[in-house]
Amino acid sequence: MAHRAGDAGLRSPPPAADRISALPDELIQSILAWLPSTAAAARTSAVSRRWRGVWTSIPELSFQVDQQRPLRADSSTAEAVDAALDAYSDSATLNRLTIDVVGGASLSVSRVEAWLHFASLRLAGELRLSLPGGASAACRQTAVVLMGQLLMHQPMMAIPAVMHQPVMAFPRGSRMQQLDLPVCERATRIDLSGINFALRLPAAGTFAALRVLRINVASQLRGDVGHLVSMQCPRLRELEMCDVATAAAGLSITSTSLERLVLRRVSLGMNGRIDVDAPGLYYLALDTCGDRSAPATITTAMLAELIWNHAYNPSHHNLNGADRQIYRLVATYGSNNVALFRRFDVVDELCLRLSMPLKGEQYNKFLQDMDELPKAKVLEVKGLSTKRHLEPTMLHLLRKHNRLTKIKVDLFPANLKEIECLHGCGCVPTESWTTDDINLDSLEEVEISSFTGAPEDINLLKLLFRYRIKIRKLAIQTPSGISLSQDMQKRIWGLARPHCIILEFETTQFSR
Amino acid sequence: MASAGSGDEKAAAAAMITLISSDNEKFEVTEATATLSQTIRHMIEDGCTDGGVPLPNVTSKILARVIEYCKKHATAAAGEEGSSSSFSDAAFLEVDRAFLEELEEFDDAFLEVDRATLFDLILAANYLDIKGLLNLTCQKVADSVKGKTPEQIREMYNIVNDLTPEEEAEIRRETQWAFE
Repeated sequence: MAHRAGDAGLRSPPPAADRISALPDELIQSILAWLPSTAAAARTSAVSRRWRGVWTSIPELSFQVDQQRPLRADSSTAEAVDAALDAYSDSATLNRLTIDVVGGASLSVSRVEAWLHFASLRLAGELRLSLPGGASAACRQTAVVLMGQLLMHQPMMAIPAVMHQPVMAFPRGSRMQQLDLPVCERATRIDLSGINFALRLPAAGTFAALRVLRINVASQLRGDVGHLVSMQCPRLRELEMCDVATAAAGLSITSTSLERLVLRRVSLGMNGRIDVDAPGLYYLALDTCGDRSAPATITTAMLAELIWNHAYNPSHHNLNGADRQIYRLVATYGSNNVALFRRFDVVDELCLRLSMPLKGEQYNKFLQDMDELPKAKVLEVKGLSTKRHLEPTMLHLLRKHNRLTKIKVDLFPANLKEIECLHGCGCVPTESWTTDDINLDSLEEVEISSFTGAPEDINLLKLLFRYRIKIRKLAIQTPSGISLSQDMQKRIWGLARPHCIILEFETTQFSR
Repeated sequence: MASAGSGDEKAAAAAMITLISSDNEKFEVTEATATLSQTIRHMIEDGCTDGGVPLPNVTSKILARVIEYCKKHATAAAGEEGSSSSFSDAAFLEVDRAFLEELEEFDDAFLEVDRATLFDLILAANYLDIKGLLNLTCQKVADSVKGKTPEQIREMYNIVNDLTPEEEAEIRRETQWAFE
């Protein structure tokens, strides 16, 4: 409609104009950056003179490196990565470099070092390097188990390299080759995973722009992470280390910028300890590190979310400066860490992994200690280890929490051995349960997962519906491979109808 | 009309901005909608929007489409802010999820345009500095190029092959690694 003869006459575009080639370089590069790989972007060089070399200034480089032939679409060889980095324009600004090595590629350490060297010079943004160590999830699982067992009793240095072999697959019998991480001054984020070399951190130099550092699966970490974070990363907000084996005696971090810290399956040396002094830290996950009892002192005034899968003994473990009220606490509830729960008065979301004792006497103590739990609005419970223990445990939990808006229960049995005591061992105390002192008036939602439809599972529902609760939604999830029959679904809906507006099975939904 | 908005406090949600297309058509939009464009946001911050914002690079046809996009996504941005304070509330999360799906459907439908309009939208998004719209439109073009040979790309976008056989061979050599 808006066509005017004058304009059309001036520009006189041919009927089928080449609009794409008329775009400025930076817009063609923005388009090329959305292609699945840098190789695909480079292939456009052969389109016309206009397109030749335009790709060499794209803001993001991305490679999936595979040595197995024939190459899959969008995969490149390691040699191709070298060639592409070599051709990349000296004047371009690189915002992201992703190198994802898959399959059984055996890369020399010098090649990977050359890529990292390129990143240290050129990158002003995000680096993601993924090597094949612990590439698959299944592989990672094995690694965890292996490392867990080994590290429980031995300091890291004592473990011969060959022990890692089924997991990390580096040359048999040789000493682990060392990969040096260069200082990347302008990198804002570094994500390293599956590092099947000994990764050495630089002892000097500043990662001046670095906000996020993640190391996921590194079979040997050399150098001092604490020093790196405290002295060499002045802007680091997030540090995450998962499945990392360090040789250091401990980890000591002092940082004014750190906000999020995740240490998951990080091995520590003999007598290792963890000290973190970060006034802005609001998220901390300390999960299965060292022998899970290493002394730890965390100093922060901002703590909001705490994942603590570690012993808690006030003479060795301290959360200094944290409020007595936090947003979320995820922790194992067992005999060796009751003090952790005394540390807080109110936790909006309380996620408990129950570690139940087997003997009746201890079980009584276990239940009594539940009265020490902080008050919560959302309660999540995992690891109810025997179906018979479920009722007394749930009653104890519910009695304590009278402001609950949501309950999530995972019925997946925590430990197969413990289930055996189902057969009449009498370890459940014969306390008589009164339900008068349980108040569920504010409850809005109940979520039950690993629900199989077994009589005990139905009893949990009956137990809940014993109170005249009115909830908005009841969601039931079954374990994979199990689905509830139509009859069972109808039966549950019959039970639930007076109490809830919506009943949701993983796929089907009933509502009033 | 623009003076009605400028008298109010800057933060007032109802403040209106007038955008003027290259063919001199006027569009009244809320400040929240207009400031999805970083270019316009900076103009507002510098206080030079009285009497309307002239956009000499954007036709009324394209500006209308851009405003349609911004209106939808400005609501989305407001929704995100609103829900972040109650992120633990499952009801809000459900609403969010539904809204995100709706937004995705909107984007898909929005991209159902002819090639010429698509390139006009890319140029407008670049000029107005609307990151979401630029990403959306560039990705649409990239998707059409994905998996295509240079010859197929030429054909699709009416690109004249001006390479001599020698040049073509040379480029092939240079980028041999990418063709493996």
